[in-house]
Amino acid sequence: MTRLIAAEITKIVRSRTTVALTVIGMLLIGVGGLFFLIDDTFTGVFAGTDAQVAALFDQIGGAYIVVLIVGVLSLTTEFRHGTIGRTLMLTPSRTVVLAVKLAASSVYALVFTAIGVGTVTAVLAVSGEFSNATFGSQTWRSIAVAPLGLILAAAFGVAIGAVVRSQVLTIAGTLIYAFLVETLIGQFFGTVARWLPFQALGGVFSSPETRASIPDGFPMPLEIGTAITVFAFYVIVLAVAAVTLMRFRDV
Amino acid sequence: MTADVVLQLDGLTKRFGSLTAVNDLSFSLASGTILGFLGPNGSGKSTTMRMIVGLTAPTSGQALINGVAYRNLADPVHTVGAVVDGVGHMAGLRAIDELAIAARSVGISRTRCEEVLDTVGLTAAAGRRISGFSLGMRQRLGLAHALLGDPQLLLLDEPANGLDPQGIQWVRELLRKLAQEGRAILVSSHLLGEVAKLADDVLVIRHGVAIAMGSIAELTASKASVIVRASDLTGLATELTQNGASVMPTNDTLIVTGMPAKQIGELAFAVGIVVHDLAASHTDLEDAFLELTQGEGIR
Repeated sequence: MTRLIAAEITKIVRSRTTVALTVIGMLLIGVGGLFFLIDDTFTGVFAGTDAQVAALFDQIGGAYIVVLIVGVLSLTTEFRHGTIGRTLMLTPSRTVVLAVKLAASSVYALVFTAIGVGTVTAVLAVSGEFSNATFGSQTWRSIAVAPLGLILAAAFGVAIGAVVRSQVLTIAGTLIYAFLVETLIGQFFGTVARWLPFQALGGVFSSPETRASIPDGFPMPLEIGTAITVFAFYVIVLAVAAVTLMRFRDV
Repeated sequence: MTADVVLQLDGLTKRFGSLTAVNDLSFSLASGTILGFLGPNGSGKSTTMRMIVGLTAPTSGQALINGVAYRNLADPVHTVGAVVDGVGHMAGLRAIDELAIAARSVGISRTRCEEVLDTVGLTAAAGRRISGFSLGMRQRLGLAHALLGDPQLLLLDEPANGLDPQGIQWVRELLRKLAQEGRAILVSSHLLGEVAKLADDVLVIRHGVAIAMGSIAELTASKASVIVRASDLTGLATELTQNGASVMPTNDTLIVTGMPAKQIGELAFAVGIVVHDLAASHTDLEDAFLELTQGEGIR
């Protein structure tokens, strides 16, 4: 199993798309972080409080879509290029193949979190706010929760990729659903919307300061513990569907 | 099942909706032999190979390798190597890296990757990205993957596709060598001349059904015809038919298939019919194939 995961990680790392996505992810985190530091519309002037630094580190989770897409690509790229056939000839158990993809994508999520932490720290340093920043319990909780949320996002991506198989359809569908459909539902049915997958995932990356900055009219995210449980439920349902379909579908 | 049978298909069937791609296909393949797998486009060759390696699930029947289904093989990479239709490459990677990733997942060394790249003549291109490879080079890389685990059984779907004449000859020699080393090889090809030079036996399928299997000599002999002129064509036709031959009468001859000229002459002599002319026509694998498949194209 370790050999399989190592090989799978190599596939992810060697992909130029993964590298490009990671760079984009860090730009999102960096620009988001700078915006958070500069703009005082929602959170007030940045004073380096624990709550504000925690909200700054929430930016890492804000780039969850990048990790999710890498998860999607880990499987759909194989279908797109037909390499899934060779993967399954080397490892005939489709459940094992899916488990390995989940594990490797989780490792990517951890690495992404680590680079994200580095990026946010760099943003603090570049902006000259590092010395003012308070790294208290809220901040450490944000940093600790980020990899958990991102691992779940990666798993969601792998599972949805296994279910849909088409790369374009999976990515386009996920983006439209996450950023358009759920947002629209949130506008009209706020209390229901926060239980939807990506609203729940947003809750995972919402420290109190981030919650406080949510404008009126937008649904308040679920509490972190509930949000993790709800999103994990969606991941499990999708993963079960993925394993079932992978086992019985022709490749 | 005899001890040296590596591959055994029993009633293998695949239906896609109303289309029966492979229908009740049964055959076996022993170690050290090369079986040519022939059929028109869409006859079910690729589907059969994909079922053998578990990429496509059979509707019924089974394909067993050393007595077990592919998915249950303890060590698939060292048991079966396959070049199967629809399996591609990670075009952005270098050839050696793609092989090394596959090798790493099953505990095979990078040195072995270099060996197989050398075997397929890609040493010089090992460090090049696959996106820049020609069809023939990709085909060679596919063969390298198949050979990675030094397997007992090779399943090769059109392995000479995209190769130049030297490449085709190289594949032929490589497969002969591998068979001589004791491997069982199932190879499909549209290059009938190549199959004739390479295979010990051939299996012809049409509409997913096996319509002929045997040595090339048997297959061509069964389709070879003999033109006969004799004193009593009607009487001779009756005798030949009763003895298992197929007879097509023309104005002054009989065209006989399924019986060699020598036996026809002896039968005519035995019943007192004078033979005026007995001419055997030569049939090669291509003629036999076209006759068996009735020149059919894609379904």
